Amino acid sequence: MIPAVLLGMIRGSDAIARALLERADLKFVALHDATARVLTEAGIAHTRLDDLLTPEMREHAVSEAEARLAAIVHALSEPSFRRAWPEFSDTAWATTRARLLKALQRDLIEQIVLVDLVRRCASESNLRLVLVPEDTGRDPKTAIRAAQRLGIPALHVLHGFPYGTQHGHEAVVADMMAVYSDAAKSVFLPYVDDPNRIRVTGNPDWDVYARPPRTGLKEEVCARMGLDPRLPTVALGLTRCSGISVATLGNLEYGLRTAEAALNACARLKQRYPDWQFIIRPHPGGWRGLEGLLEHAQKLGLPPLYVDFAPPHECLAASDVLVCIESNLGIEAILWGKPVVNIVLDTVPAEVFEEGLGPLFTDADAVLIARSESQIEAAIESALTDPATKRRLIEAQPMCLRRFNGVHDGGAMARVRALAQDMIERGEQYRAWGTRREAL
Amino acid sequence: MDDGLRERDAATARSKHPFEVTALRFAANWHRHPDVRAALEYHGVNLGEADEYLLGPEIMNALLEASPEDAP
Repeated sequence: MIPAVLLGMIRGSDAIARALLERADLKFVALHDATARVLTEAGIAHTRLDDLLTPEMREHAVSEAEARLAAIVHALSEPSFRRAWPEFSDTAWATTRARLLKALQRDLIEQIVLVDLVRRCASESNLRLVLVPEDTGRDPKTAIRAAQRLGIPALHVLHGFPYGTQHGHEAVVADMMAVYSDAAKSVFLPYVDDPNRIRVTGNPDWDVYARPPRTGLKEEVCARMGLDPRLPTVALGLTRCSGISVATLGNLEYGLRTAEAALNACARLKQRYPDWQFIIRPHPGGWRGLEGLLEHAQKLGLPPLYVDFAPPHECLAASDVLVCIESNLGIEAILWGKPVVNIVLDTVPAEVFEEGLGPLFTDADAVLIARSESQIEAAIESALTDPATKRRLIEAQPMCLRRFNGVHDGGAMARVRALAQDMIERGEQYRAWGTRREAL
Repeated sequence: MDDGLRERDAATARSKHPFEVTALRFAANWHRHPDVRAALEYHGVNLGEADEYLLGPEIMNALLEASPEDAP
């Protein structure tokens, strides 16, 4: 039977599937609809994990979840459980209990369905690998655990250079992890029992930046965006507030406030440089405030902004400077030698940027760090007009390449493919950790 | 709570806000308590462990709700 891979990537799922197919006959099963959409657009044959779901499975999950929830409600009322958490006041315990149960009501059914789907997938096809871009979220982690119980290994290909809040990564759950550089590896080393479980491969999505943009790409992308490729273009990459720390939960609008400050700076620049052009690029994980920002830009007198959802390298090919907020897109710009203005506003509580692993960029990186509206304006202007600034950024680039993407030779996909292929062929060599974890 | 259930405390200690430390410690360990573990196990998967990432912020919000004056 042809080996199957459960694929959970969104960005890059088509590229990795194509790379794997170059070396072996494989079937792909999409973990999410978003993955399926990318594979469909790329013309890569696949099935969706949800295609295996029957009404009976759903009914079974509902009944299992109800029974389990009832048992948990009872257990949470037990004095022995309450005593285990003396740091909670009675008020805090009541709100915690209520929120926990509400979350479980939402999650248990979905998790039970997912475990059953992975088991059905494994029994009906030759499932050999779970390939995911993260291993902390509910669905990938549940799928990984379900697969590991069946002896099927999982590979986590890092989807972003780690920084800031990091509590989601306190354990590497997948059997193997592919990371971009030694610096990225050092972040995860405390969370593995064996350092060999983390392989430095580089980021396959960044292979495209190992070569200069192909001739004509800028003109093509600008034509599509309605921009003049001969004129300076500023791209504003938006951030998404994760809300996974107390600091961000208390400052949910920091991304919006920061983007507004950037637009204010752009409006002033537009008055002084009428031919400059502006692109706005939503975060791939979604951006709820986009409409409000576009209205804000209109009120400032900026011309209609092009909202860009194209692949990141196309956005960067069209732009002459990227303005961002602690974003991996900033790394991509650096890899292609584009100036980056990173905004860390003084008006946003410092914890938002400094907690956990700390900020993504430092003053030593090939970026200009702006802490106020006036600094944003000055930084964009110097990035586009000041030769000394451009020179300083270019000089800092090699250090950034090493830190963020190891050798940066365009061979990351080949290394990830080799690892995935080996896991497919010799899965038993990679299973030990998942089994040991259960013994804890 | 025995030491085994607190083994991941060190990993969460770098969080700055006390609510974060408490919430993450709870999310990382509650599902291992003997009173709930059996109810959370499904085909060998501890569903509470697999749900830590979503439960952490829920507990942070619960603590903020209980003591809004301590929010940052």
